[in-house]
Amino acid sequence: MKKKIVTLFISLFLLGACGSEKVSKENMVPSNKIVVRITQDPDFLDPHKAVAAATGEILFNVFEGLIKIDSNGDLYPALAESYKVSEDHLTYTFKIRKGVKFKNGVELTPALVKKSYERFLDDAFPANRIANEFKKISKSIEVNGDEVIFELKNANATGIAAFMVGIVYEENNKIYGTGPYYIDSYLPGEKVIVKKFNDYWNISEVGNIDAVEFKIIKDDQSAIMAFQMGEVNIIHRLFAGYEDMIGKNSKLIKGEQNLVQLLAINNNAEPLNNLKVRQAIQYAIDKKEIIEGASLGEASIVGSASSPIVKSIYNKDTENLYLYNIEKAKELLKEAGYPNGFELTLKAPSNYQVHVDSSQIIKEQLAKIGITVNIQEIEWGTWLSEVYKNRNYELTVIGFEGKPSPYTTFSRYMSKDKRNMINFSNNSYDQILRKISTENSDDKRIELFKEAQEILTKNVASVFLQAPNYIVAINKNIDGFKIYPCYVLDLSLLNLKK
Amino acid sequence: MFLIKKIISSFLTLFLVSLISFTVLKVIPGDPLLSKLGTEATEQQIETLNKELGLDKPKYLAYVDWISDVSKGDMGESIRFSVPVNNLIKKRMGVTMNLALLSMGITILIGFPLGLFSAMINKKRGSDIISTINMIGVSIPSFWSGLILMMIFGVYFKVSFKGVSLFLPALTLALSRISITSIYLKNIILEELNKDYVKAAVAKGRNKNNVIVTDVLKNIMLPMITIISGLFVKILAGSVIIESLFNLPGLGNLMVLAVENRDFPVVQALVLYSSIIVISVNLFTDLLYCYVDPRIKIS
Amino acid sequence: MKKIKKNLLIGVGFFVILIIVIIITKLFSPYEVTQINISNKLTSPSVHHFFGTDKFGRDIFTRIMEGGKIALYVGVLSIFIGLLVGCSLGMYSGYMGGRIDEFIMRIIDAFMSFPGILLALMMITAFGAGTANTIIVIGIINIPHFTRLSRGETLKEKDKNYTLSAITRGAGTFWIIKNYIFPNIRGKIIIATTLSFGVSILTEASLSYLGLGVQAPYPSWGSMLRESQIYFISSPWYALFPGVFITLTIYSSNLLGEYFREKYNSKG
Repeated sequence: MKKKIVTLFISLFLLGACGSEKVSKENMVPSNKIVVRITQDPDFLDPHKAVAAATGEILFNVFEGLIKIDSNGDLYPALAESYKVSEDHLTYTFKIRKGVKFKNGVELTPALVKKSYERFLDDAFPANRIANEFKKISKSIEVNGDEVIFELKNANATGIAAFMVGIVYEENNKIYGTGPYYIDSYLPGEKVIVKKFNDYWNISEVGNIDAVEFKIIKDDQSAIMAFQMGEVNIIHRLFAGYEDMIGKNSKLIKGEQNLVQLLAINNNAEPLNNLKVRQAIQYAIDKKEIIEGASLGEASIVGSASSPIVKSIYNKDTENLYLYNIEKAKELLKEAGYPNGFELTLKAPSNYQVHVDSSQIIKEQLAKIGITVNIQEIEWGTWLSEVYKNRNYELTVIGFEGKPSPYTTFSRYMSKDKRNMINFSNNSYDQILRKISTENSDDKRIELFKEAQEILTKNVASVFLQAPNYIVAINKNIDGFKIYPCYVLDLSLLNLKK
Repeated sequence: MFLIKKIISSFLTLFLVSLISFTVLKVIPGDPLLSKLGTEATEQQIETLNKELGLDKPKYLAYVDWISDVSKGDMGESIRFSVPVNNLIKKRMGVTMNLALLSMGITILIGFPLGLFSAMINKKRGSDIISTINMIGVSIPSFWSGLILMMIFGVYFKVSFKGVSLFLPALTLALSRISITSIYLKNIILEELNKDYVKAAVAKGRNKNNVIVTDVLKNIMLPMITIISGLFVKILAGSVIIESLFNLPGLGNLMVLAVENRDFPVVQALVLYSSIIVISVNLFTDLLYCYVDPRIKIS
Repeated sequence: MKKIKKNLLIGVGFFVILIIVIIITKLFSPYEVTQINISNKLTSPSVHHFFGTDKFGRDIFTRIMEGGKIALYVGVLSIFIGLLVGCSLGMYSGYMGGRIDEFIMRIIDAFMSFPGILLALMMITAFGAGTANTIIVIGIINIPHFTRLSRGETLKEKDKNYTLSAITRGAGTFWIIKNYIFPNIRGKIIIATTLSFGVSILTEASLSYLGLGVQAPYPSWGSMLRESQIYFISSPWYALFPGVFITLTIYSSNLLGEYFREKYNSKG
């Protein structure tokens, strides 16, 4: 009897062990495959719908636009061979490159370019912001021989960058791109696998990586362990705290990131609607301490809503408008009528360690001027609906990604913009943004952006804290990784040394 | 007759479970679309997707729709991942089942002999030590022991053999159940020792331990099955934390993800399936008891 | 007998010592629970900091003791909820019998077929995280156990002769519950209470570990464990102490449970 029992349980044991063997066999590695860690699932594997910057990083390798961006942030014609812009900036003519194939073998034609644009211009299509903004200004699209001609309703704030939208070919509810890699499979919650497209029109410029697995690992700790064990080859957006853990076979690449973290202030909530109160808060914040404590020094101070990485428009003067000054802070608070301070609630999104940590430091800093901050850590889903959508909060800490077009970054703070979670309302600001959207001269536009930053900071729309650095942990045998000044992970540059 | 009654009451419980989970989920602040789209979505996207996914319907209608779909076996589509829920579950079921089976194997392999042994040496010298070890074992939180194991095997001794990715989590899960399992078994054996036939055998001069092995074990098959079925359910529950800790693509991990993303269809399907499993296991155990011992039907 | 008394000694002893140290720490600790000192972060245990400092330079010993206070607080209150609601419900259900009993037990069964952590997860996400909600949620999870227990005992007592004669004499429901049913359940309830206490502590730690229980910057042992994971290799003491204390607390509850089981039960 006992023997039977033992046999039963040993077989249970083996069953489990065998089952796991099957799992590992599925992961047999073909030549030149690397694993890149990402933190969450892509939202839509469709460049016209995709919202998250992280999704865009993957899609950059699969779908291409008429214009592409390079590692210096410069724009160059990709699917377009060349282009002309009319004097009044209302007509863009693109000569379409020949010999470009979509993944399913169909050849790219001007007609298909037009079709791809018309796909998201349809009202019933859930188009993302970039596509939507194009929709607002598009008047007509015509095909003429090997050219596609876009007529715009008014001048375009983003300039040629608007044409970075990916070109897709749709058939039977599947979409195909022209990029150097294609999406091979997607296992929700686990991974996205892309493989090299061997008929890519510019194949000679692509490195030797045949397949890339984007492994979804939410938790930083597990990601580091996977990296140490060789299961992951690249971790980008590594948290500074893990730098010493990457091991001898790997190197770190650092750069700036187009991401701004802010202490978001609800401008409609009492007593935060009082400018003096907001100014007092700004004076009491020591950004350096936050960078040290929450980002371990790996970040740059920001003065306003844009990251310093956007060199062309970044207004460095804004950094000095409110230098750390406890005395001034206390004075202003008194002037505003709160000599004894008051209580505030800070709703921090619990899934972002850097924001949670920053909140705790801010709490201690504001305590010094008599403001008691109660931190409520809430999880992401609740944060999105309570804080972001319903704007039911006083303070929160969040980061906003910068877009290739700075206009999209700044338009958030216009009074009527649906993303204006801080309830900032300033007529001059609205006016300036409106001017930018119709401005043709690049120089004038830059001036206007700098003005906009000044208004945001002077009026303490919120306290803009830091732009955390972009840190990549990568195995030493992978060459070619370049950091882009925007959310791009360019796989075509990579080469695996044997 | 009794059988039918039992089955009906199980269905009733199932219905209640689905109602409770549905109600609770609809009360949750936060909507799944926002969770999927984040802070950069356009209004148009939200509107069109709301309509597409039928999220703008009133709650009772939505519940009725869901019930009618479910009875056809259609669990709907995951809002976050845009794939059919059943596909998601099918792909991940293997991992969780493997984890559960492996954990159960380890638990039984170590826990049962341990329980047997502690029953045999009960009240003798070594039994205190074993009790103490078991007590401590029961008290250690699994996410702590998992962390320690990860560090030991993942970093200090870089172990690598086939199936290691599943072995560590299974071991962690097993560790949390071994102690309680051995305690249960020991208690059952000790209770059985009070029975007449055992006392008679010992009085006749047979060695007590010998009696345990040859006769008692045979007679406690039923309680052992209860232990095993209870173990199965507890291990499935434990997989929620363990899968998150070890980042395994199983059902427990899916549950956590789905709750975070307010992915109602997935949460409801998982709640329903896990309840079905628990209820079935209980039903099966009850039926087995009835089959073996008809006297029990009356209670 | 001596072995059993030992359980009581250790179990009660641990809690008494813990509470005393918590009180002493609250009164005399030179450090605030949330006081940040970044330049002093991640130092190993020393005379100044018995348990070292965490990633913000906060004194771990002070935080562990505060975490202890929170754990006891959450544990006791949630047990209280479970006990009160659970026993009332169970005794009522058992006593009334019939349809009402069926209905109540049906719902209880439904709740019990949910693995506890799943239920907690769902409820926390519905009502929000935080200490108050954690107490309520764990309380709700504790209810079914107490309900089943008290209902079972009530059923047993209901049909006994002295109960029936009391009813014919005109005794009220409450009187019967107080004088006949309750004294017989008392032992089992105490056992269930101590064991559920351990479970509550574990559930609270698990929820806080997942980020859904007690919120930062207030220290729960579970959330401290979560924070410390990153630093396990470089600063192992950080993760050591929360885990040790969780284990010791649950262990002591179980010891007490063992003691009461021996005391009130012949069979165990």
